[in-house]
Amino acid sequence: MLFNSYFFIFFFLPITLGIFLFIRKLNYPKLVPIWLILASLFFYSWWNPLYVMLLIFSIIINFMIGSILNKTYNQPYYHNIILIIGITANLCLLCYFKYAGFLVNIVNDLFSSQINIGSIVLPLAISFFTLQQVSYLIDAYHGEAKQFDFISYAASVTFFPHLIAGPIVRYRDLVPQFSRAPVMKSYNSTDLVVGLTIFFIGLFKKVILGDTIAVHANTVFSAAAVGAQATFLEAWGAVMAFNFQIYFDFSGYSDMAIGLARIFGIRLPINFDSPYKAVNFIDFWRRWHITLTSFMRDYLYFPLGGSRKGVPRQYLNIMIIMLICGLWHGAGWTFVIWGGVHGLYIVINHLWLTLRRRWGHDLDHPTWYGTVLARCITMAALLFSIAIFRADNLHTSWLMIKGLAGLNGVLVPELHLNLWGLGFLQPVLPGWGIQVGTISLLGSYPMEGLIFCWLIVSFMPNTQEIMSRAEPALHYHLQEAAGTWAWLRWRPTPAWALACGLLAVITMLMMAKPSPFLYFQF
Amino acid sequence: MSWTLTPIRKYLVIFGLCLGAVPLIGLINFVFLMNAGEFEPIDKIIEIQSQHDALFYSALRTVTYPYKLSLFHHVKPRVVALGASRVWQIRSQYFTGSFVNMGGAMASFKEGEAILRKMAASHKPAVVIMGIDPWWFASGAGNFQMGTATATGQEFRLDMLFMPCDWLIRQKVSYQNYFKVLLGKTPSPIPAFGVTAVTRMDGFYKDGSYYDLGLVTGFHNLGDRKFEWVESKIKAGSDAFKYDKSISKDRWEEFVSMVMFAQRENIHLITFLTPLPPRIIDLMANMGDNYAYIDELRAMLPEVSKLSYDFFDPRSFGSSDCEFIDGIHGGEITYLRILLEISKDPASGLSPYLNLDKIVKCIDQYRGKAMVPPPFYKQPFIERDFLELGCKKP
Repeated sequence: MLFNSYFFIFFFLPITLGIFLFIRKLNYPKLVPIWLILASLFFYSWWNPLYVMLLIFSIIINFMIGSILNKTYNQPYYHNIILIIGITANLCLLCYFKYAGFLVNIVNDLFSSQINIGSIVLPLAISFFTLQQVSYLIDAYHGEAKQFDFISYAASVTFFPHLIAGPIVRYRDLVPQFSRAPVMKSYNSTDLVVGLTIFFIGLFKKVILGDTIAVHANTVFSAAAVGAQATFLEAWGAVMAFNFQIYFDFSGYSDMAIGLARIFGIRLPINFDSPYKAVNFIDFWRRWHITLTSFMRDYLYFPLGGSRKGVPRQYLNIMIIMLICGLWHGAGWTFVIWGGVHGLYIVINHLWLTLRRRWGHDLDHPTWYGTVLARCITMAALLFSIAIFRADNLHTSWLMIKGLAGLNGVLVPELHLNLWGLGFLQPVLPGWGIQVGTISLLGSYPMEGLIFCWLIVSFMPNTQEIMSRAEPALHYHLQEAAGTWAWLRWRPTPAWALACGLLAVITMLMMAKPSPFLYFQF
Repeated sequence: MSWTLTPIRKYLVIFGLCLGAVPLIGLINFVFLMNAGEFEPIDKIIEIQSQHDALFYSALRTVTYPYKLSLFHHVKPRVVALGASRVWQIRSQYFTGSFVNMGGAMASFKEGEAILRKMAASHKPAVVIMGIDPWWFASGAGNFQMGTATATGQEFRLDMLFMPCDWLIRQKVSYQNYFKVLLGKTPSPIPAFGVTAVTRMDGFYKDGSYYDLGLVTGFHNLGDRKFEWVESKIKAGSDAFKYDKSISKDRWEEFVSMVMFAQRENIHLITFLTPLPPRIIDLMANMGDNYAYIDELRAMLPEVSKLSYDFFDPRSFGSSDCEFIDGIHGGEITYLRILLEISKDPASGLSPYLNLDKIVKCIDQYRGKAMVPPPFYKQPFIERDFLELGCKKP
């Protein structure tokens, strides 16, 4: 079931919320997590009822292992073995469903064998609920996961707002919210108002912005997949379109998840903090899919030694983490290489910062032009990596990279040339190796759309900043919308109600054809 | 963060009122769709069409397959035209006996064979003329399916109630026409069912053939201007125009299997490769060997059956870009020429079923045009240069 479907908005959500409020009114808070588990399992089963069993099995096993880990804290030998068994079991499950086909292909390529394991259906959300439960086991191993009852644990894993595509929630953040009855008692209509507002802002980002710009990216990448040669502007237009699409799609989803959780009085962690305002790649990964970054940092990077074992080892750790991050996104070489490229970006970023410190630059007080330049370089590098990430295979990536480099020629849209009063250049451009004509791969070239999206992601406050007064998410310590954008700070006034209500109406009227979220596939 | 209950309640009320507009708009759209005849059962539509000269085309439901099948069972025709949308312009008025156009009921040979099986089991027409689209043989394009074989025409989904909003925003339906239909009036000057037919005057006639009447006469302006839409598909290698070096062996076997089935069942099956506009064919030829599979196909087709004709290039039988509806669909005159060409081959056995005098007369009178004035259209019929190719259509 998709958040952006009429069935979800008009049936599932009102019924789930209605019964939730009814149970609260009965003053029997222990029933609330049970109801949320049932509703969430129904939500999950909408995709494929069979895989509900896998989810339940995974929850039971992990809860049991976590309980044992809590009890064997003073028996290091058993403690270690149980953790290894727990993590191995989770990774085996993930590897079988997500990576078996990829691994078999590698073996077949290396040894010219013909092993065939058939097609394995990837259970929805397996990457997310596996990571969440692995984090629980590791926290339990370190004695940082206070033991709660099974119902609270199950409710925290299955909770439908974050179940399918995150944010990746830590045990210590979520389980206490379900286990303590007060969360249900302290619930008030402010949660409902704030949650609904955040949900519809997310829905707007997904449906109106993300899905609209998606068409242009899909056309060019699909064309490249069958061998079409995207010209310079087509390639840049496509990677930019996909760049904005994935941001509005995924951050929109995260907003919806945060909003939905808040409707039920639960707070999820923030997942996006205007990543396209990043001035370098270290900054970017602090702003993009924050819960994945912090998971990788806390459960992989630090255990590997982080930056404590010298600079070369730190860089090696970064590369390992980013390659794993790439592989987590999908079982394919394009994802691995994408992860590697981002790892390289971060390493170069560290080297550059070290150099600048040596040169005595004041890194804490950057100049405005330095910031602009840094943002542009970061965005250009990001767009280059998008050509790898979005492509179906390495060949398509290569065709797109050739297009980005201008090796497939440069074609300027005649329409825009005339529109911008540059028609007089038309006769001379071919002499410079630039053709003038119709950009057919992108359909009507979405120049204005791309500029509009760029303005939004570069200058406007994000959802959390807009909603800062309502403490929208866990670990929220961002600055609120200020200065020019102070008027965009949400408050429960009739004007805001009307504006958000109209936003919701327009969005719902435009979602007649729901499209799945990009991160469902990861 | 702490607010008193009053502003929160006010906020909830205003927000709730706004959200309440969504089901209300859904309800209004429901009235619009109902007035446009979108929810009418197919059998009722066929019955009304047989009594009145009404056009039918739904913008909402996947109805072509069940509609064409019902039409077939209703008429029990002597001659049938079968294929995808690219046989839609073959009309009953050029046949001496009963005829049904089942175009749009199939888009692959598996589907074609399934329909022939249904015919063999119920009513065998004397002749089946099947238009074959070249991309059905491309492996890159996959096994095309209309996806309609299980459609009943009675599907209802919640999102259907909001599709009119999308049509309005994308200007597929004008606000003027929307409100006319909402108030129970019909924008189309002829009887019509379904949003497309009602608001655009394009749709299936009672013989199953399709009239792009609104497009051709300028009732609306939603055509494939200068074939640009199809050209973009060719440059992108997308949809039906996916690139392929050679034909798919699987698809070829499915085609042979279908032809063999027809022979075993004594179904007189005539197949022909459907045409594309010369401008499009030239563009495809300029794409290197991206469409090499079509040349291979054209060489192989006669091997299967003597009754397989190649009309891929309309220049070979005197048609032109101006006789096309868009970059992919030939017009009525193009198909009249095709029928005439087939009839010239005595082995086809088609002549006895054709009104050849009428066909020849229409070709002479309307050459260079896409449509012969429909007999049921009582308004002045003026075909305009809807493709904006500079075609002279006096």
